[in-house]
Amino acid sequence: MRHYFPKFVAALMVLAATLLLIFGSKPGSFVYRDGRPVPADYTIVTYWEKWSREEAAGMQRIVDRYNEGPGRTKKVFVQFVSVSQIDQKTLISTAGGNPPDIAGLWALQMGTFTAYGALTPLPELVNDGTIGPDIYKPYVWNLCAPVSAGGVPYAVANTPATVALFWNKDLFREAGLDPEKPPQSIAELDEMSEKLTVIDENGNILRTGFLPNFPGWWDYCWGNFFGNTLWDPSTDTFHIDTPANIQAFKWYQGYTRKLGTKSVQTFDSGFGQFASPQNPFMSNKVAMCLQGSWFVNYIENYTPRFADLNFTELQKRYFAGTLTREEMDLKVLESRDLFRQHYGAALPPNSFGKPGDSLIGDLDVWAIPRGAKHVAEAMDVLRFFTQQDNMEALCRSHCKPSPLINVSDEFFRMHPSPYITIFDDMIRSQQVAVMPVSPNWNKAYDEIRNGYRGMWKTPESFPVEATLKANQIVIDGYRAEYLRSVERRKAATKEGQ
Amino acid sequence: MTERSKLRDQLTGLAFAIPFLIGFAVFLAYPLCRAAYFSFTEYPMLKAPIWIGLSNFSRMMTDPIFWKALRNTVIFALMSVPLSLAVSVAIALLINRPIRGLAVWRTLVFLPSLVPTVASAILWLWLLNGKDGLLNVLLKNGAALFGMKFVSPEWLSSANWVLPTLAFIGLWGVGQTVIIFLAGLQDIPREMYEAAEIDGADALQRLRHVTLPMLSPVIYFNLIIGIIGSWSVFDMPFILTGGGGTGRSAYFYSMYIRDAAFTYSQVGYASALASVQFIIVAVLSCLVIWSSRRWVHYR
Repeated sequence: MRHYFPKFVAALMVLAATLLLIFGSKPGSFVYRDGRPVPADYTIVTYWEKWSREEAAGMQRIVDRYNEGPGRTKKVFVQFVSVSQIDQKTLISTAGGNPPDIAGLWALQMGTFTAYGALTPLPELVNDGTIGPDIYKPYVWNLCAPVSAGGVPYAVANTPATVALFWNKDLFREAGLDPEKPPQSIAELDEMSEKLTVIDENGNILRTGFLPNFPGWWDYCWGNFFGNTLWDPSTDTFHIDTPANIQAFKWYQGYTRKLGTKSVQTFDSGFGQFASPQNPFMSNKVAMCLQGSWFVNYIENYTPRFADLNFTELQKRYFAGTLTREEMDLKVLESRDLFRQHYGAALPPNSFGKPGDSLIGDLDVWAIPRGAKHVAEAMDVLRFFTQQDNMEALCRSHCKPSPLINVSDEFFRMHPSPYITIFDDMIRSQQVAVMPVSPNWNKAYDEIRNGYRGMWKTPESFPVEATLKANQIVIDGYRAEYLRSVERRKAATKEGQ
Repeated sequence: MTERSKLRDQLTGLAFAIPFLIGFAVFLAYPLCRAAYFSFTEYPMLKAPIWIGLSNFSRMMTDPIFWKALRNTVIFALMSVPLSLAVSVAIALLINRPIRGLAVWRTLVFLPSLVPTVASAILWLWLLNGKDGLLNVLLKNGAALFGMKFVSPEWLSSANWVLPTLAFIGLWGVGQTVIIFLAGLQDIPREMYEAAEIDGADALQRLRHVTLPMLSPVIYFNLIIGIIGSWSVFDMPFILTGGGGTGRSAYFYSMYIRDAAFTYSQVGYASALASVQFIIVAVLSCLVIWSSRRWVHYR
């Protein structure tokens, strides 16, 4: 017994492991949200999305609508997966021949993706009227069918992003400023910022009116507010070392110089996570900042005064059945009033004209990677997602404007942001800068970011003119390298023929 | 032993080695050969590789980011390898002594190396925070006790401080090295210390003339592992500095390989960078092996 028992156990373990390997990871074991299994004869459409938390929950609800509705009649099930670093993972999986059927990307990635042939062109969706210049606001369409890709449509828009100036009305009142009057120019922004800034007797910054590097998501665009055009789509060239950009970054660096490099570093190293109550705007450390419409959601989620009124919570209760639609709508209106009392949002100021003469924006998109296994089904799913009611439900849950030209009155009336019309007007405007949908964007962005981080944190080592000049040389080098690569590829194709 | 049983033994040995050989071939040898091939090509991941000879290597010579990443990695290696070796030996010597609660001390030394990198990185981010970080608060209060004014350094965002800080943080994970040194120390015969004591050697002399020479094979092993580790450092600095720090002051070689391959989709260039890294590490290891004849003592 003593001799045979271990062998018997070992044999059993090997057998169990083998069975587990063969049958344990059986593919196709998909389930609906309520736990029901998806029938085996259904086609599974894999959908990777970059959103997480509340934003992913908003999208999941639209996916559920599809799965419970048209998905049942068409025998299609959408498997929604929230994925980090989605651009890299989509590229790698596409190269490996096993991409998702739908990928939720950023429009700025389109240049790289289309240059490498990573996406499926979508003229079919234009022909059937799902997407197109008559469906989308102009700025949105330009990003879905970028010039750098020869105007070929490669993406379906979902949530657009334009940026406004948010300000804290309570802090304005405290500083003796008119809480209903935001700055109308960069000069006025600086002036107000100075009035709002509080420094203690030891020289420690307790609050600033404005800090150009917060949140730092669009610092590459500061030049636009001084009249620069960052990127020329017709030549795919970046304009970094220009008088307007130099002026912009001198202004940018001016904040560090004025407040003191060490003091600013110490001050902003105390900032908490963006999505947390320690966000410097929410914790009253910064009185004004540039942000998108979704900021209303974040403020409401992380500021105690909105505890019972934040839209994320209201939606949860509504979908859980503990709140009726009417009750939710009343609460939304209440929260909008409360928000208006404490915070404002207005067109961003610039150095050369009236607010709104220079706007920046971005866009989240859906695309079908090349080599996706269920292209027809994925297109059908995208048709469903882009229906006006679904699009509005998604954009509302993300607290963003709709990319569509046609927007219902209900969308504006019951939108969680009291300032949604400002954002909607911005997307319709012709002043939104064309974002660099360039094949060289990833490299150029890293270089620009490295430059402005240096200019901000160590102004002595990163003088503006020299830094921008160096940036320009390196980025021009990237472009030259890319063009050489295109030529090499052409030559190789010719030789192959 | 008959020919037949000899053959059977050989086949049995081979059968046991096969899983390793398959793993080695599939996960190491093949990727290594492919990477060597790709380093002579232009390969944007989604298109077929094109042979471009030595272009990737000549591009490196004029690539400022390559030089920056190389410089940072060399400086980091020069700081972190000797520091972690010295600290590991020192800790091993301490916990090799018959002190109270020895098991607890040994566990405490080893414990940090079990903490996931991301968790410990978040911990360090807060400890080293310029404004409210525990280290700066302690230093500030300490300086105030002596009536001095302390200017709190920005440990992770200052280009001057970031590399020494990262080398210091690297000590957090020395637990495993310490355990290896501890095993080495316990392997030193007691008689050698007794003989040294009879000859009148004091503690320092025993350390210099007995402990360190007897520990030299372990130091040699850890030196090679340390060199390889410092050249492939990635995760902790990546999280702590947000991908490379101010002005790429903490941008390491492995980060550049990763960016070139997966952010810029230049697999050919990334492979060339990886090949150079492989050659550098191989040359350094060979130098250590060559020099070991002079300073490594085997019983």
